[in-house]
Amino acid sequence: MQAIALRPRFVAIPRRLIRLRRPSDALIAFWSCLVAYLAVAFYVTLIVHSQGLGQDGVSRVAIANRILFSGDPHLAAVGFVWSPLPELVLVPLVALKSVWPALVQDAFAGNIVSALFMAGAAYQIFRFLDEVGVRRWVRWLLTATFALHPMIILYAINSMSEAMFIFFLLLVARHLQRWLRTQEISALVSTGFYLAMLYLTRYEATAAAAAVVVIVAFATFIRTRSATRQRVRAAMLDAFIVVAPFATAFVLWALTSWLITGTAFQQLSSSYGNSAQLQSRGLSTSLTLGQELAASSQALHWMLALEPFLPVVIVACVAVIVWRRDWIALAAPAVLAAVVAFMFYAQVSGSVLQLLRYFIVVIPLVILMVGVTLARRSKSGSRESPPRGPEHVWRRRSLRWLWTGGTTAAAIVGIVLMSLSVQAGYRAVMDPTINVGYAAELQALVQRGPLTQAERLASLRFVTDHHVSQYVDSLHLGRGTVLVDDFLGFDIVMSSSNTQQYVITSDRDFQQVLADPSGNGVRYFLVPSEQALGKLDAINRAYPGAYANGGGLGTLVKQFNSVSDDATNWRLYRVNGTGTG
Amino acid sequence: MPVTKRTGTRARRHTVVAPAPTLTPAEATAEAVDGLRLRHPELSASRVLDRNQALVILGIAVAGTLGFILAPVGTGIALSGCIAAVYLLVFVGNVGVFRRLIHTPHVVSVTDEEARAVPDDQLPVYTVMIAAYDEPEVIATTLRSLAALDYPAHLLDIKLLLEADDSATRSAVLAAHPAANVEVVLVPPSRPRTKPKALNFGLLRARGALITIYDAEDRPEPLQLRRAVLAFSRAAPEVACLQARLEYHNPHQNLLTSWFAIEYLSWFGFSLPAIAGGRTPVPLGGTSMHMRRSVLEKIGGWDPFNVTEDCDLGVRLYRMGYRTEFLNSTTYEEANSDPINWIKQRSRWYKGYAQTWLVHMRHPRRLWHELGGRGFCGFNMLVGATTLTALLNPVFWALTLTWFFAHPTFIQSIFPSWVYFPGLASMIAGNFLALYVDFIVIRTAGRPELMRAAVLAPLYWMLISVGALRAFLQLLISPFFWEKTTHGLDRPHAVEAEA
Repeated sequence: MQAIALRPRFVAIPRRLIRLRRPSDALIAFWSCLVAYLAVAFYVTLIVHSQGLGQDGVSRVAIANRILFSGDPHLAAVGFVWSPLPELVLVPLVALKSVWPALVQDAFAGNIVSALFMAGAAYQIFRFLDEVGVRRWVRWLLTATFALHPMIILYAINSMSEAMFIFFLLLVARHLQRWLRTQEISALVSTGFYLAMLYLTRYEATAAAAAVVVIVAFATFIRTRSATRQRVRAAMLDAFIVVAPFATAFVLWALTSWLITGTAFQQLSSSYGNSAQLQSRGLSTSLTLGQELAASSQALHWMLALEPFLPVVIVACVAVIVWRRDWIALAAPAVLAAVVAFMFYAQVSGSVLQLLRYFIVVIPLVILMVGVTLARRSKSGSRESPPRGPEHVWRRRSLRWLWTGGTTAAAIVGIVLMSLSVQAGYRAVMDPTINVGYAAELQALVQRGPLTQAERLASLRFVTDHHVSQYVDSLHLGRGTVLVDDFLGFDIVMSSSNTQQYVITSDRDFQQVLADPSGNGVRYFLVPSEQALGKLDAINRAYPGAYANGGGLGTLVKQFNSVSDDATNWRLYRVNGTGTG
Repeated sequence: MPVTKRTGTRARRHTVVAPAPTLTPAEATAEAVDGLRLRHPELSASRVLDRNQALVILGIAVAGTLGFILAPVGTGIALSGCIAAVYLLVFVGNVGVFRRLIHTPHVVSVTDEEARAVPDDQLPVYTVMIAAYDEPEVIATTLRSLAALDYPAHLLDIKLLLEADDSATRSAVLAAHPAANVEVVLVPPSRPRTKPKALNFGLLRARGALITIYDAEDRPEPLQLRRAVLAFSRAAPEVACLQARLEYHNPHQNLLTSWFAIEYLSWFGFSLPAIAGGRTPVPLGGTSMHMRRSVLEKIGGWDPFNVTEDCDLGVRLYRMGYRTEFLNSTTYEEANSDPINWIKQRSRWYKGYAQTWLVHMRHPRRLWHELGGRGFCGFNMLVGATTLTALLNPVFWALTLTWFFAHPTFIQSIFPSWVYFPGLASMIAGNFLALYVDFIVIRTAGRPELMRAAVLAPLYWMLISVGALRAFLQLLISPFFWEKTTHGLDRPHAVEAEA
């Protein structure tokens, strides 16, 4: 009831009624975001047919597709290099392929899932702001600032796993915050389970888990009033409760991978994994000091490009928290900051590709920090003065017009800041030096006039793959007759109307077929040009020169030159000793 | 459905029922032994199986044997598939319980002030029954704990139920100079020699409108009876039983008592209240269950042939339309500290659970009708599957280990992937959940020092399985034999004062 006492302008509505009304606000935010994101995704994917905005996302749909519809459908086809959840949530949608083929052939299933999770992230932001005690209109403004950020819109519609990651990360932060305020065990347990989901979405979750464990153990140690030994035990126990689901997910995923592939951590060791990808692009995983400095300045530059107000917000947030001594408010931003810090470190140490998307968490981080700064009250019940000025004093002097004016002014300032932030984000994602690899295609999307060469090429990604796929389909081949490594060839397989004609990497007899294609009924094979990631192609590795001259395995039928900036050409070979198609 | 406190309601005056017409000891014994069996033969465990059950079991045994001879692989797959399905269902049920458990447990709360504020003239006569057999060492402590109960002496009707031929305990009672309201009731020796039979015997002489039972070594919280009176007066009329929380006073005596303490914290503090809130019959604890006497008489008292009469009573109450709630009052018991003694006790419990399951599953359709779908599933999960999985767990642990290290083909052949993956998933997730719940329980109960025992809990599960195996064998050989649990094994210096 204390919360009500702070807002004497209103009749003291029973708390229950407020509770009943508030979720509907958050749900409105969710549904509006979902509808908007789906509309944009529909336009981009199914009307303009621009798929290159999220290549990894498209490959996830291909993976879900091969789980259900390959020549050898099985769950383990999910693959073990990346986390499984983004693929698994696609499976139910991909199952509807026969009802709506575009779900798979245009990978629209991926767009639906990312839109769903990004709208869910907006919902979580709204709920978080509500729970820390941010005014209703400020909640709306901040949620909108998040949801309308061009980077957020981009990842809501491009079927990548970022949306899911942000969604679960916000859930973790929100429940951690709830546990710190209320000490309800259910909040701690929820935090733990969402951390596990986060890990199964993206491996960066490890940074968030580390932050959560430290915060939980520290908070319990400080709070427990007992002998030191008992405090240590209580802290260990809480840390265990919060980390156990995560640790179990970690061990189980490694164990499953080990049981099925013989390697526990494929993302580290696989021939398709992160390090292999870096090497294939000629990037070293150990950087010189100069390179490290350059990488860090670039990372900082990108973060500021996405959120120019970041330094101001950090200073304001920390100042307000110190002033109020409301240390609990630090926790949620700290979890997100840990992920940003981890990506920063990974970037600087050269262990990941330098991509703008790895810093997307900066956007919800800023929103959370602004929310914490503007919170009128802490739910722990201590009375706080409003940060924007002593409104209650003004009201007491009956200067209500002044207060209304102040609110209006604050709203105007807020909207101006929001539009500035959205504009800055727009410039960032459209800048080819910042949003490397994606800006050109985005330009092609929004440009009305003639396109530049780079923009034209970017808009044609995946077109070559579709040509290959259509050509192979036109040969009307039988089951298991075309050998292809779907690491790069995923879109060829996915957009085919006869996926079962392919023998792909996830098939359990792939190695056997690769060793003796003609003996296993294979009549054709497809290989990508041996540059960049093409070097990782299984056929290129098994038969050196496979692309150049068939590697002694077959004779060239057709070459498909890349029409886009992707630069991967494909060649179709007929396996020696088999009849013509 | 959370129980809301209706503050301001005064305790309703309970009518004191006139003592039962005096029966001769022989008549009383006959009533205590055969009362339920004659009036409700279908609810009595005096027969382990009824004819239909025997036929079904025989049919399954014959079909299984023939199957293994004619089509061993097919039968193996069918068997492993059924068992995997049971495990999966149990896991799903446990997730449901877990979700309720981490939220506010469903416990009736009566504050100390409220309990003390009830005027003496509004308190009913309260019968407290203690069945003791061969417990001369602890009986003096028992009497001290009873004397500590905060309840007017003239309204307290204490019945000390001793076996007539147990002279050691009898002389120990006399030596301890019991108070005037303690009546020593001698139960004439007769078969079956079980605690429920003694309780039925005591029930015939009980005067109180409310009844509770304690074990000889129990230390009930002094305000428990007053809390129960107030809770009954506020409760809905169908609430016939209030179960107090049971905890152990010696969790730090050894690893076994630590495990046992965690199990009880979890069972009485979290799981049972969570289950009771879910419209499912709950097995009662053997002690500190408070009941309206009229209901107890109406449903036929305890089943003297069931060796977990408490579990059976909980289910029978629910079948007859009554409900059980949980009371925020703790009784401290002595945790069994000796492994052999512990296994004996555990095998009696599992034997009783199996008896109870067989009794109530004689007419599954009628049971479904009486309990509702949810109650029926809950009963099967709680009483049936608990025993079955305890029995099967070691088999599957062994199979899993064998598979990991030797990859024998026979295992592969009876576990096709559609059985193997759900089975493996429910095993891993189920074991994780079981461990995880223990940690949450000791955290919520504020007992982080039990963490070491919680980490080692899988060893305790193995011990549980040994108990289950022994129970299974005993059920075949001597179904009604009551395995006596020895008390007084806690060293005096390990005893902790109750909070």
